[in-house]
Amino acid sequence: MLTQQIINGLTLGSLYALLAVGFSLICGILNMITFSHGEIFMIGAFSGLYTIIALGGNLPLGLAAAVVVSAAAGILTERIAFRPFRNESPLSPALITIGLSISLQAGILLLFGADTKPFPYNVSAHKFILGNTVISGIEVFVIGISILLMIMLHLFIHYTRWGLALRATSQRIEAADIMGISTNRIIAIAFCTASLLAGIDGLLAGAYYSAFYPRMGVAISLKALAGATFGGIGSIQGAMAGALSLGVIESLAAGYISASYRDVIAFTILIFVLLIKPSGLLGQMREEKV
Amino acid sequence: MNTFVKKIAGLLSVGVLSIGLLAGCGSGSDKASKDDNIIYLGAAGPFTGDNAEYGTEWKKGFDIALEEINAKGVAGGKKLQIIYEDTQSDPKQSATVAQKFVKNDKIYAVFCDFTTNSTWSAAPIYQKAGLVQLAPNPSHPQLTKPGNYIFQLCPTQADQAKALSTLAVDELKAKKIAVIYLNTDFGKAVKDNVVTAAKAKGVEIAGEESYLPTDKDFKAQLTKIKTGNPEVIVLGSYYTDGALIVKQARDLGINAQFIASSSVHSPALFQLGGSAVNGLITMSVFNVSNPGETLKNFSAKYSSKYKANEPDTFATQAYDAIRLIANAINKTYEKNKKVTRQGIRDELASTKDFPAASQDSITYSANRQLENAKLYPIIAKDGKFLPYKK
Repeated sequence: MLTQQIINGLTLGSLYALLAVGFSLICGILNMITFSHGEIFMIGAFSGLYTIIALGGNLPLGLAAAVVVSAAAGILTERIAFRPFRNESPLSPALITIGLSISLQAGILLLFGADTKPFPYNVSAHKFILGNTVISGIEVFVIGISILLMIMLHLFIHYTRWGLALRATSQRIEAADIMGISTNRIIAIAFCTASLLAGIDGLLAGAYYSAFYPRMGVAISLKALAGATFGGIGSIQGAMAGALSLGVIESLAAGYISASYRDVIAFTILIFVLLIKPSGLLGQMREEKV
Repeated sequence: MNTFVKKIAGLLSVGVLSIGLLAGCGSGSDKASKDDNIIYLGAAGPFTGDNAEYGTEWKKGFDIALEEINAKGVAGGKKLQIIYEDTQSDPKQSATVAQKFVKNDKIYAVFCDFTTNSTWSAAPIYQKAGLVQLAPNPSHPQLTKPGNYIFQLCPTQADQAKALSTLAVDELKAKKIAVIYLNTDFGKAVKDNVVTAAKAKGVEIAGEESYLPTDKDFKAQLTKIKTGNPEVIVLGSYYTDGALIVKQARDLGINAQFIASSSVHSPALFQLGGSAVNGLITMSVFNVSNPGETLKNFSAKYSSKYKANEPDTFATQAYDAIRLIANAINKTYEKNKKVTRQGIRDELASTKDFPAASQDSITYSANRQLENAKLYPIIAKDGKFLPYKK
């Protein structure tokens, strides 16, 4: 049972992780939190699903649609909710994104209806059976894609000029500005990256559970935010490690103690880690945020 | 920028206010003449939020019933009309809506609510005001305890548990069963009643696992249940979670027989669960194998109107709910030549052998629950529910 629970937890954690790095990226660069990230995840999922259905099963184009729509939504969010308030209270963006998240949920509910939509293809056809442990092909796919995207994100941040600008901006916006970095563009790029990851994640999660519904981003984005904080918000590796461990802790808690106490146990551990190490598992000095 | 935002906010609020005022004036002018011919009913249910899909089914059932009833008219040619208020089946909102409904003396009866919790939070308010509260779906055995104005339309979990445990033990010959249930009043009622009934028959309980309404990942619970190796797994779930649970169980290589309470009886189960739900046995509140005239009529209208194969439990119960109220309105009007909230309650309470769709006939017991509630075992097979025979 242990290996099976760890596999379950890693899959769950991978789905959290793609959202968690987005929170980390945005918070690392702006020191502000977005509450509509879960809805970007959701509209990415819906645009992917409906493109796939409309094109009769074209998965790559579905993925592309999820990426484009969620990235556009992310850039728009930045323009509406963050840019006008950059030097003011972080409460304004928080409130605006809460409002945005409610309107996006209601909008999708009105457009597509309240019922849960299935993914039109059976994605768990391939199975690997190792003794008592069953790993389905989609689980390998979810974990694989998640790790691949994380590696790409890491390379992007550490080995490209845009990544360099991103790191500079996250250290000090004013200084980066003076050095000739177009910080507005860099912040938009951060939002765009965070959002397209959320959109891909949404399509993955929807296909994995075969369930697309207007509130699909609500619970998972809160867990992802918790995972990002747990691992050290502002740090990409930290967010990833935090999200994966949250997934595994949840699965083990449900498997060995009780599913009713799953969240209680997971969040108690989280609070203890933060009490002992306020910057999170892998959180470092503020200067090295992104 | 800040002042700009403030200006926009100010303009918006002025706009909203004036629209509200205009709308108020518009509807006020011709209200008196129209209202005399309309009997209003309140519907407080989950039209947005986590349970919105079930509220959508309510509306479908309501609409078909209203078309039929309003073609003839009630209480000497009046029309029925529904005032919808969204509660998201949240107990707090359900109570707020109840306050609003009881104050509106044009409303003669209310459908409220989808869950046991939200039905109960509103119950004292309806009871105090003397307004009928007909709960279409909740199945808690104690649902009608808050007072004599609350009516139940679903066979209770005590009825269901008896049928489910008989099915598991006597027909499927299970020695070990496990229960997975939604951690709400509804799910716990399924679990408690099934566990008690099964233990009384000497069956071993190999696992009891709960989950939250927002959960979509049930693999942790299922992996745990797999180690207990049960022959039958009982679901206390709605169809969305039920479908996902069965699917994930099959992915994990669990081959146990699934049986579920009537709340999974919906064609949507097949869309969500695909071939994984084949073989699942559930209880239907309506008689699929030998439908009465009322059910046949409703199914036909539902299929043609909504382009679906068959109606689900929620739409069918909503359809019956309105017809029951219309029947009570007609009876009290015949006797007293007028319609009152109290009159509707009295006639509803004395409903006897009323031909219905969700049951062949409905008779209310002294507790305002179904007397002799019948449940019909059905098995899911290739996208259809068929009557289950051993």
